[in-house]
Amino acid sequence: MSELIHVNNLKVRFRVREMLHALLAPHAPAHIEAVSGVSFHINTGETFGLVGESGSGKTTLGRALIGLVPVNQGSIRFKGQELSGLNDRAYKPHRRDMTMMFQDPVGCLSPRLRVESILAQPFRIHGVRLKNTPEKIDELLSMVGLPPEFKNRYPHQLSGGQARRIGLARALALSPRLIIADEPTAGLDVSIQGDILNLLGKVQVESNVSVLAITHNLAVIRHISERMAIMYLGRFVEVGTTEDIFAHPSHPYTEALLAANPVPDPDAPHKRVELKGDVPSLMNRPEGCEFHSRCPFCRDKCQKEFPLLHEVAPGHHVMCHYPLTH
Amino acid sequence: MTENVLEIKDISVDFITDSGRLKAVRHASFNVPKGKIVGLVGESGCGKSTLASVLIRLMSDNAVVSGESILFEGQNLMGLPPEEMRALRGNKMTMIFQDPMTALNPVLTIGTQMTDIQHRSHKTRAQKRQIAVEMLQKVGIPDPEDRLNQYPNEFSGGMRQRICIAMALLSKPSLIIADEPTTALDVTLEAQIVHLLKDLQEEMGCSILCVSHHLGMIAELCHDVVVMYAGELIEQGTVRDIFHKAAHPYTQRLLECDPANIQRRSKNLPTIKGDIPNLVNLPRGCIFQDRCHKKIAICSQKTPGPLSLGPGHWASCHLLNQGEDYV
Amino acid sequence: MTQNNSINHSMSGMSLFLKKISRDPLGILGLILVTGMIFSALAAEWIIPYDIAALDIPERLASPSLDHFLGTDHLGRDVFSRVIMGGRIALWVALVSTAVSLTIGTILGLIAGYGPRWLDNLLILSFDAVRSFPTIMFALAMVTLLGPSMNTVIFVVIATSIPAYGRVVRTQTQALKHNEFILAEQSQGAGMIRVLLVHMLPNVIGPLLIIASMDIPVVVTIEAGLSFLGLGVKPPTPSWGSILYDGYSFIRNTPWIIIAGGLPLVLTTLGFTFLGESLRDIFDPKLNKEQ
Repeated sequence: MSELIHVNNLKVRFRVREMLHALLAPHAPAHIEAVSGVSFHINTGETFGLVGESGSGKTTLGRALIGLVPVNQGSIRFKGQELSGLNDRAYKPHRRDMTMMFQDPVGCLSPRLRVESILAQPFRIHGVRLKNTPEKIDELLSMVGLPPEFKNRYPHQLSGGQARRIGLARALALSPRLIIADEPTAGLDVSIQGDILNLLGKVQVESNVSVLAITHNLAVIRHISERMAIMYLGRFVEVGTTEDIFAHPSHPYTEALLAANPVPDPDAPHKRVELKGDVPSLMNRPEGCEFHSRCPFCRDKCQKEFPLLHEVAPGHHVMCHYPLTH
Repeated sequence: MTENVLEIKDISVDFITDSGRLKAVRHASFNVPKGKIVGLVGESGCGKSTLASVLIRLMSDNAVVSGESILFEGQNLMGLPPEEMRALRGNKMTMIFQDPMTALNPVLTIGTQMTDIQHRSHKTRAQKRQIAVEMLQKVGIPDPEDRLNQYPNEFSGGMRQRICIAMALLSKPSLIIADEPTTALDVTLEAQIVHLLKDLQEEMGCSILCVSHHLGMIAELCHDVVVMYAGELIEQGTVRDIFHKAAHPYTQRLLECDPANIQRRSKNLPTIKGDIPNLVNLPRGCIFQDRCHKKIAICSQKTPGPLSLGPGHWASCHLLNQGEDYV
Repeated sequence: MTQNNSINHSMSGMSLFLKKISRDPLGILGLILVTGMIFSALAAEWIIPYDIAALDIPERLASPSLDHFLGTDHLGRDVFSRVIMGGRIALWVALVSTAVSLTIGTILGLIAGYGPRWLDNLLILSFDAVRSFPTIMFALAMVTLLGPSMNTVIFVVIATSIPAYGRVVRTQTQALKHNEFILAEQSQGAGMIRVLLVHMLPNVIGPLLIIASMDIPVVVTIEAGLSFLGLGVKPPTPSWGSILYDGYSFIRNTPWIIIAGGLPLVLTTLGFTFLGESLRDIFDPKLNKEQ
């Protein structure tokens, strides 16, 4: 397996543009760091799961990889080339090999265009001349299990599941090497979630494409990713194989996430690891370990010293002074 | 036999649209017993939110409600004049909405909103504030005295939902209708809210009707569950009946499809093929026939009626009549 | 809260539109008035019984009769013919100026909303500068520079309308800029021109056309007003405004000229306004500020 994309110490900052606030509270930070020094890699043909709740920075990370959001520090090496710091024009060729599926299935499709035009965009943008456009579109549609009639529909005439498939078809149009799927099952009913996930899996097997699956849904990640990372306040607090993390969660936050996941069984034992309070604001990062304010196992060291990501088992890293042992 | 705080008998809702009469809810009947939490489960387009909005009588202009009765504490809500309905709403029957941000007025402080909502009680402003403080404490908001003076945007999403719950409880309602109360929240917050609702419900003894598509949350929170599909109630029972002894093929498949239910890692997850049928031109027979993996001949001829499977457990499926093994 | 499970729209756009507008009596009235006005403007040469400059001094200031439907003016010219021709002038001015200012305003608005901040600031500054001039003052200045004529009127209207359309388009563009479908196209490598023309424009143009149609009566009134002041079309070209001016001077002799000049103005304004509001309510009820 070769490395397709390697991210090193990536940082993305946003300016907090509240001038009045800055005047009244001069000690408040001028920037928030949505992604705070993230490093990882994805191999060819692999699905990497990125799990986090709102405010974790997972969507920002996805957008930074594809260049929708500027990177402040760190590197992104994709197919051996450095992407950070490139302008739009220089990024363009890479956007054939790296595509994105967005969270809002219908909202990410241009509302006044028919499906046919929407799917033709990637070809037009990259100047790929098609001998027979409708034929190619039909091919893309059948790849995602939709009949040719869908060519003439408008986005508002699609159900959530159908729109998701169109989004996938669009992402596959130019045979990318990496697909970034932002919440691939959000807004989909449980009875059809399997469709899009099975489809992603099938496409992967057929074309050896890698997937970065961004979601807050642990149940889904378990089925589709080989390796995964848990994100909190812009940092990876645990990274490893999916199997390992589910079997031996080492970070208290991971364990809380797994425990919080409601199981559809009224008699399931509730191993409640309840977290105190809410996620701290990015403008007010806690001292020491940034999770200490909510951690049920917080000790003295946690409040003062920042834990570094270290290996607890082969390929399994945790950012915690006292990783859980099982 | 426990008393019912809510009894819905044969209620239907049609929407008049440009493409015809859309039969969104058809002949719905179920009860919410006093002091119990009932879950109304279904996927998008099943009509559960429509049914919930019928209860508080806040419907769009093109909706036509018909049926036998909606008995709330013995009083029929159908045909009730608007003033009397308004007296009930927010008083004996309150609601918790899906999105806490839009449910709260962004330009008024929490304190103002929580005292305003008590406008029916003839207490002084100071007393109302005190009640608000106690309620905020009950839902786990730290420093409630100070926080009363803050605006909704100064609270996180989870806290806002707690405030909405507090507001729903202020008037000591008999019934709280919660429409997707945790859908907009992260999973760790969801766990907190579910816990909170359970504790508060036990303490205050009110009933809750929880409308959601989130099976896991329903399993944890509810005593009884009603399952809805494409406008029809197709199964009802205790939470254990539904999750362990599901009788209707739709309920069975729904539980099978939930990724959280699938223990072994799979790259071939189960789904229910197809879409919900056209609700303007209904098919003849069972509403689920086109997507049912156990369909038999009679399913396309006759609509199945509710069949009793045990105390409080019924399902509308022809297979149950055939003596087939449905577990 | 309205549930609509039907995914395919069963009716085509036109028949759906006609069905919807038939529910609004004022909309129907507007449609009739506007259609009538457009028709008479287009067919003017065939409808008018007399040449607009034909003098008939003995018949001057006559009251309406079968010969002259709206009577004659102080030079014996048939008022009815002049009014119909005036309609063509009004429509021509309105359509040309609206079309040009819409086009330029849209382009500038798209660029302002989507492009770099400094460009946005520059454009907004220009818009505000132009808008801060009172229209009549601006018109007077232009007339002094360019002389009174129909083209001067058109120029004045275009110059003062561009900022208004520009602002509307800019606001819409800014609102849509961060929408997921725009991000999705950007993530594929779409450049600014493609994003603006293929994706932004179709979503922005809808409300704009409705606003433009409600602006047409305003333009008609501006033209009439300028012509009334003698700053517009040159005689003997008839404009409703100049007819009004003539009628106003001779009001003691006959009230009919003023009525002839004023009535079409009122009917046109009402017609376009009713139609525009009806269109707005059908296509984008959110635009109704009164709701």
